[in-house]
Amino acid sequence: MNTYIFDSSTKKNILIAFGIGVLLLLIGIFSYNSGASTGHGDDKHAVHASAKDATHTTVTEGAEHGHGHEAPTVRTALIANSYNVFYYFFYIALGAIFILAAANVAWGGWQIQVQKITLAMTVPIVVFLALLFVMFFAFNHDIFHWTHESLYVKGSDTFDEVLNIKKDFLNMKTFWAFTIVIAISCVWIVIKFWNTLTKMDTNPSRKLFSSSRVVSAVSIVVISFLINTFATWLWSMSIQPHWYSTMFTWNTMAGACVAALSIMLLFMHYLKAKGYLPNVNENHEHDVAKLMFAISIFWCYTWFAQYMLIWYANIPEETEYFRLRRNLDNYGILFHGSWVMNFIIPFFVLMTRNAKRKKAITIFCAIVIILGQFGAFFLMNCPPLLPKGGFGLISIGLLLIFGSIFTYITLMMLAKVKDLSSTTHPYYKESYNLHI
Amino acid sequence: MASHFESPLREPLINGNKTYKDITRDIVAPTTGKIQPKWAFWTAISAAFAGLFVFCIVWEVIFGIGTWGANKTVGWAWDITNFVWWIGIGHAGTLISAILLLFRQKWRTGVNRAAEAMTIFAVVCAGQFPIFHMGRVWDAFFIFPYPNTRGPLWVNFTSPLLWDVFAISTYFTVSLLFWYTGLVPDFATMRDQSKTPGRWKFYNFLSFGWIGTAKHWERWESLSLILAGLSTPLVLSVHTIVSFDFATSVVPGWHTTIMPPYFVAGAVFSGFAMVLTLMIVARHIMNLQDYITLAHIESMNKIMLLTGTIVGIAYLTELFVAWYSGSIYESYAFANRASGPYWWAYWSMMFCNLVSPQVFWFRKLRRNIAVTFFMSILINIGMWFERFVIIVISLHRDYLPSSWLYYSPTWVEIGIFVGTGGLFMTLFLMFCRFFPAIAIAEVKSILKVSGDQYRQKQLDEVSSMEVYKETTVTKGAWD
Amino acid sequence: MSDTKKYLVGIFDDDDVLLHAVKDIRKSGYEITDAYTPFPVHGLEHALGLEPTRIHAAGFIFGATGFTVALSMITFINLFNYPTDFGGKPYWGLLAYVPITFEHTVLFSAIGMTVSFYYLCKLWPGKTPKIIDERTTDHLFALTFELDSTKDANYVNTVSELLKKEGAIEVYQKEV
Repeated sequence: MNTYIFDSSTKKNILIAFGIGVLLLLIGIFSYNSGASTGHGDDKHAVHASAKDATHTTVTEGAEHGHGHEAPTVRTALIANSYNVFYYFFYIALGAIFILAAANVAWGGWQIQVQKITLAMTVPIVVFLALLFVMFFAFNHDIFHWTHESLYVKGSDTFDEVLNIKKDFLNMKTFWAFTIVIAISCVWIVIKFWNTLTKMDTNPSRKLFSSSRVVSAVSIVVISFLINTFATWLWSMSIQPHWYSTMFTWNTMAGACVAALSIMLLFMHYLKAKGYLPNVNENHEHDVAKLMFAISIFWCYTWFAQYMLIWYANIPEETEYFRLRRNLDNYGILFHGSWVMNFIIPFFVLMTRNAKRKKAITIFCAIVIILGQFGAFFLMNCPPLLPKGGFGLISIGLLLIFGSIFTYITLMMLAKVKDLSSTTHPYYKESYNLHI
Repeated sequence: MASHFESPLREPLINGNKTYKDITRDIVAPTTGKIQPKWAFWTAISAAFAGLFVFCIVWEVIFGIGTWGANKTVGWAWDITNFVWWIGIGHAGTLISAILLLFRQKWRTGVNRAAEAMTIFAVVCAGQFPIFHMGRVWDAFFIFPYPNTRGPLWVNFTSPLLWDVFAISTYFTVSLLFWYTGLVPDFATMRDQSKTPGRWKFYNFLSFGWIGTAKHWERWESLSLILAGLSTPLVLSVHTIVSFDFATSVVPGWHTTIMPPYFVAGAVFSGFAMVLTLMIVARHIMNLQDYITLAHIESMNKIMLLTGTIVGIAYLTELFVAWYSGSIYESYAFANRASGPYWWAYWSMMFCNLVSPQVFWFRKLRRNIAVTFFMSILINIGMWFERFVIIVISLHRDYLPSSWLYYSPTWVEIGIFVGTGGLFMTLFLMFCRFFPAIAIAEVKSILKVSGDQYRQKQLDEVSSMEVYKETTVTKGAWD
Repeated sequence: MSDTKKYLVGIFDDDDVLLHAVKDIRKSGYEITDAYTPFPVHGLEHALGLEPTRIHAAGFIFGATGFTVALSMITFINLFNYPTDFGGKPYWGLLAYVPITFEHTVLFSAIGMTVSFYYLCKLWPGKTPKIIDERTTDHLFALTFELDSTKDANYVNTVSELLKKEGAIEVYQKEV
């Protein structure tokens, strides 16, 4: 069983998940109560109303006069949530490319048997790029405050001095130029990886092996200098256009990598349960879990450094970001939940060697990390659009819907791979022998 | 279980068909026999520079901090530049011994011992600068929190400078423990190779009476692994906290959130440069070319390429975000770096750290010893300039133009810096003479996997695989 | 010295042969007192049936101690003993205490674990070791069998034969 068959029972399960997602989404839409979708009682709102209004005016001073709607409607919630989900899955696929490239460029032998999973996970990037393009095209005014022309009219009420400085970068021409270049490079990298690694199954040669390393090295450079940098700046950081942080790009990428690894771990256990990957054992699971553990810590390191430095310097231009997100009335629970889920839980649960080798424990951590990173991504993208809170059923529903699509595409691509365990790879025997 | 397989495509890490016995002999050899005149000559020169260090320090303590050029707004100058530079150099040792251990990179065994020694010596040198920058150095113990007679007066736990005190002292202690525990079995080897009773006693004392039973080895391996696991976040934290010294402040050019990881990357970058500078010379003098091979040098060059490029991304990110922030002070700080009176420092930094390591994209240059040596020097200089740029350029023009000035170092500052170089080299040369410069036990443990004589056997194991059809184990078969 | 013990020593020159020998000898029912190797042989502790070391537990406990010490010390000082306003930060600005707490955790854990290691292994500077064979820190591997009063000549002969069969290059008795 070295070729994966995408069987109907799996398809049915994906469809069920998709259906639940749709159901949650519909419930979320019909029960949407603008400003109170996190489930806070009205009394509590009244008590904190003054404090919250103060925050609100600071953080969305631009958004107020630009958007022209005070309280977020269900339309805004849907746009913000969908955009966030597309961005999240785009980043997971990008994280998968990064992991694949890093493992290949570092001559990683242990991961050869599971690298086809990572490879398949890179393909959905095309779909999520397309979805992001739709969002950019149709809803750019809803997502990006800086797209409003009125901000740059000198002397008018809506004139924004800071954005006027930034308009050389934050304008539609630059935006589309970088967006298109990013999209082309992503697709190019995925095609290159797919062709090189699948060709090695049927025609194993040293030449292809060398070119797989070249592709890896080049894609790491392209991701680092171009894709990750400009995607985070233009697609995410500019949603709150006054705010800036140099760490933002690295924090996003670390989160994407750990989420991608967690999803990879889930696919690995799924394939094992179906009887594939016969020679993948707890040693390989141990290695994946170690990386999950390590990158969780690294993610928290970047998160802490960014948060602590901004907290410490206490410059209003910078603290607005966290004031909006840390407020217990809207996003506080999510904010603190995200570092607990992305760091505390994986750190303490995965600390011992035994835990990293237990299927149930690593799956639990993977799910916690996937949800935790989803929360972290939500916090990056959505609060400026939904300043009064808005993480709820709509978010979860959309996560399930597009998670199912991501899974479907990945498994569909996996079924096209001829040699699931990469038995022809020169390092295959190292992976086979792995004993740690 | 005891599989010694490794893909024959990987380059051997021990050349020359060595046996366990050869490994012991080759590594113990430089520590025995008569003192080489070459060694004595260089040690004498280094010691002379260390003497210069002592002289300048005494001068500074007697006549005060005013003998330094640091003044007005440039309150931190060469001292802190050198402090950060030395601390950064120390990072490669811990990276090699801890992080590469966790990543199962076998090539670390050839260089980890010397690199760790270098870490410890570099931290010793680094520590001198903040201590003597205190001026009244006899009150240096005030930095530690202890119940005192000055009322309940404590140190400021909210200050990054205090975090640094804890970070550097912890780093020094843990590195020392890690290094020494690794050395213990090798001292036992040295003891059992010794031919005179005095030498036996000396190495037995150092080896703590190690005899290498299975249980001891098991504990030793477990301890090494966990110390590695602790050192990894520790090494990240040290330069992170050094970066916090700058980044928590509101000085334009200092307050940027990317500082912590990019300081770490820069530290590793400069550390590897220093490891290469020393090891390229040491492997020649001590005849260790079979253990510190071109494969080792190539791997280290790759890490320099990686970390240099990471640092480069951070430079460009900072530059862009300084403009993007819309803050005129932030933008000015960076414009002043590139085009102000210290433009030469900024562009030296950019050239040495971002541009020049790009030559390592070419395999030929990665494996060229002369190029590597030249690059390692260039990178050391570049990383020194990076700290100079961050510290001096950000400070020399503050918000009040009347206090703008052009800082230049005095002879005392230069003497102290050059002197720490002498101190460092003296310690390193002593280490090479009296301690095993390569981890004997660890090299033995990878012999059957990475020794060149085992490659043919490993190739036979996989020769049925199509991808190995045309592979032969000759020089240059690996890429 | 009075506390010397007598050992039957088997010397091997290859780690794979040694590992194989250990498994076979234990299967035949003979107890190996100890093994001496010049470097850590992977899997030897399992073959000898040694209990896995719990030194990492010591590391965790010491680390937790360090964490508690640092945080409670800072809390006591900044919240009760001498509260000071530093740059408008809260008296108990937890974020600013993360670095020192972390460093203490690592410091306590590393020192505690290393001291435990030397304590458990009974190693100290200046200790006079009982060396079975000087070459075991160089290139040879040794297995020892303690010869106490219960072991007769027959035992010595059988084990010696067994050792030789398993590939020992030398077998001898030594009192240390």
